[in-house]
Amino acid sequence: MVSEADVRLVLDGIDDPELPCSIVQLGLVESVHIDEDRVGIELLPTFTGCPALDMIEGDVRAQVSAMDGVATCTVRWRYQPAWSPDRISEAGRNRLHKHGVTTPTACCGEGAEAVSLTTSAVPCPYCGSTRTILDSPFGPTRCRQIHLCEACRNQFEHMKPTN
Amino acid sequence: MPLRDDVMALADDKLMSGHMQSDWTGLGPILEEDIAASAMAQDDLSHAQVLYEWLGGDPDATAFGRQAQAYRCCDLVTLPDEFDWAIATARRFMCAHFATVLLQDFAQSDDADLVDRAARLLKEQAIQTTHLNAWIFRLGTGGTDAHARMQHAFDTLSPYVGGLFETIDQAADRFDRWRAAVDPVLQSAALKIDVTGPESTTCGGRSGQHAEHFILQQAEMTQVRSLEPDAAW
Repeated sequence: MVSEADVRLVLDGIDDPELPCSIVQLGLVESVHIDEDRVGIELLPTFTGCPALDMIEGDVRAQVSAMDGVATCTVRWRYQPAWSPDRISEAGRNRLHKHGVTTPTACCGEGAEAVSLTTSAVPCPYCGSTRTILDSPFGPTRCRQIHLCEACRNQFEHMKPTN
Repeated sequence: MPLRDDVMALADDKLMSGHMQSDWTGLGPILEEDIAASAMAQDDLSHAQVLYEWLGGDPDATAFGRQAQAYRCCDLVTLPDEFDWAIATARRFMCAHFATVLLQDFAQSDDADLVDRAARLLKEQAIQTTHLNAWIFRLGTGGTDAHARMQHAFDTLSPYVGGLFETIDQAADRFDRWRAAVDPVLQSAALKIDVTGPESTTCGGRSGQHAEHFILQQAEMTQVRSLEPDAAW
């Protein structure tokens, strides 16, 4: 029989179609339930209007169904608990940061309070300055917003806080 | 069932407003607002879907498979804005606050599934209202021309505000909460709306007596499905 750890390993190999980050690292996987050769997976949407949801669901179903010992895989989207950037793992934060996308808590060091977004003091991923402002709460995807660094004049993306 | 009726009213508002707002994609006055308008339209369409799912049945069939009289959206959402950014912004602002009031109540209802859905949607709705509040303030205080255009927009839309609350359960209480949300923002921008109560006007949309602008929009939106009901993309 397939184990939950095996399934999670496969899920960790599935990247979000719009970010260099796996759906496990992004915190989209809420639960994995195994009943003999049937696998049920519950996922959380980052935003309900994310157009990548169907693609993610298709990737999960295809890759898990193809595992040895799995006959069927069902995927269900849940609304509670609501996804928030707090669910992004350390590995995920590092990958996003390398890509130029900051996250609400990754920038603040261990044990630090999350930076309040209304102050927009999110350190620039390019030059590290905190002279940054929120340019628009609506970015290239539903889960990202646009900040502007007044020091190096670069725009960068920040995972949108939802709490 | 007042709760189901209210959910259908808000879902239909969101569907039509998402459809109408997407007309602005590529035409927003600045790039950031072009993206924001499209993102809010996308939000609204997905909120309609999440609420239709709760009501039951195939959300696509609910969205596109009904006769015009079965839709419960208010007249305000399909009123043409003639690509006037002030009208578009003022309308979004008023509709977003109305949605917040209803979603807050859905999140306190006795239905656990609806509570989960509404709580999720409120988080996304809050991003819209914060953004729109900022723009009402910015445009209202942005000089004589900007202020005049915004006041003209609110004067044009005021007669339709009563339609938001038409057939809605506890309309008086919800209208008061809506005023409590929009008034401080309007005051900060020296703008006003001439609306005294939820029953100040009747439009008919919420009871299926739709204006011509709705009929035209709905016909356009459902054209593909009418021609080919089982069409797949």
